[in-house]
Amino acid sequence: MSDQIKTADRDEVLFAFHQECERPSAEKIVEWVKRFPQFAEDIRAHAAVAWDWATQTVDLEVKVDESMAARAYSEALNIIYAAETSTETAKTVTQSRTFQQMQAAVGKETYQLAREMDVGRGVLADLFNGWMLPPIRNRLVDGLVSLLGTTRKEINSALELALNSPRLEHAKSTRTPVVEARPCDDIIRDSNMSPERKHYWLEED
Amino acid sequence: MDTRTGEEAPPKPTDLVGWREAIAADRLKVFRLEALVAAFQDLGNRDTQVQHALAKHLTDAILHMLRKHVGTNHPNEGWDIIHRTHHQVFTALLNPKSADGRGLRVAFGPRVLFRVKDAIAAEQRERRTSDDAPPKKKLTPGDQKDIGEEYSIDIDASVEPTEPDEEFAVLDDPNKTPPRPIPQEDPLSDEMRDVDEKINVEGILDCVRNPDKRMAFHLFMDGVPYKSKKKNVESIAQALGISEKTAREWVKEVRQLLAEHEGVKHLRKMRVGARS
Repeated sequence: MSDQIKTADRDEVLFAFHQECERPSAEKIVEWVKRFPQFAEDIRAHAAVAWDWATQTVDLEVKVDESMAARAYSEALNIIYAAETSTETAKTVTQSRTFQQMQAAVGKETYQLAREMDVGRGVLADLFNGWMLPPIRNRLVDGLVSLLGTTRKEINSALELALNSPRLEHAKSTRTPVVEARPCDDIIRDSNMSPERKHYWLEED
Repeated sequence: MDTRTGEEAPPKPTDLVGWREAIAADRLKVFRLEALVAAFQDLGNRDTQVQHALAKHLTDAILHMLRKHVGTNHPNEGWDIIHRTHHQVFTALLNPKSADGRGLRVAFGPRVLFRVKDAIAAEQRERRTSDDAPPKKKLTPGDQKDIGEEYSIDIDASVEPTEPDEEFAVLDDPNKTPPRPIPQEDPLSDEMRDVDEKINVEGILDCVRNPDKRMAFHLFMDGVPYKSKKKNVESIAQALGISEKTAREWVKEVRQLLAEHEGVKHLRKMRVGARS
């Protein structure tokens, strides 16, 4: 039996023990020790804790110190970040998706995403087509991370892919199609959005 | 509204818009914590604001739950254990395939409390010293004498000791289900039992540092015999995996500690005052 399976078994046995024995009698302790002799020491240790809990008073009016709550929340965010970093690393190792693949994954066209984010459709189109030069405004990236169910790192990878193989504009009779990538801020400023929305997406508010 | 629980039906775990609305309306507190766990796991980081709001609410719930149960008699007033447990639970939340990750979706409170009990048991194991371990030497005639003398240890000097081996005599028919052997012959135990509930309420037993000794005392007060040869009647020795002699020594030690404890003295004075 591997250590991991043994630990999982131990946890499930002890969890079930607590569920069955809030105030474990001598009979129950002996019964569980006989059923799971490999966890005898743990069962007895947990029985001692169960007895302490069964006979102590619980302060129902307890208040949690704000600094402790803030510390725990910060810790939670760190755990989330660490988990995402780990997932991102795994994803990067496998493959990077394009913006179009991300859109297909959530089943949303560019105009739908633009409407949900309240941003100009042309802004997103330029980004997805590889016509927008970094740095990309954080607000724009955060919005896409949320709507596309992805991560900042994957957005950066998709941007790199888009810039490396941009979509060409439609061919015209007068000239061959060209790609004119422009800075993110220029695209936002030149878009057809209202001044307020431009200020918002330029993070000038 | 769920008419069985009085709680509102939460949005589906994958309903991002529903959870956004619930957060905007400050309604997370009306949902079961298991529903928040499911949303936290299923939505992941699709919307970081939603993810962080759920993380904050779950963190506050965990801390509140743990602070209620973890006494300030632990190192750093119990905060070390609380933060360790919170870290463990939160890591499990982000690992939905783990046993805890699955369990938290089904029974959030019991899982969190199990984790803190496990943390307390681990801490107690680490704090254990060689003095806490049960003695392993063989019984000597002197030891036997000590066992007989332990009944002279009394929180009430006026109480006469009883014969130790008769204290928990099991007199029932072995064919019947054995009733709990109540130590009614021991006035000392009656005395202790009278104040037992208050000892627990007042946290006086915290003066007994060794959890095994506390459990031996709890079982003793629960009428469990030190030893038993009867089928289906378990003893303190069997429950704790120690010898009968050690069981007696531990209970004796706890009673000595309690007899000297100011809190017990105070309780007994109040009891005497109430009688007169």
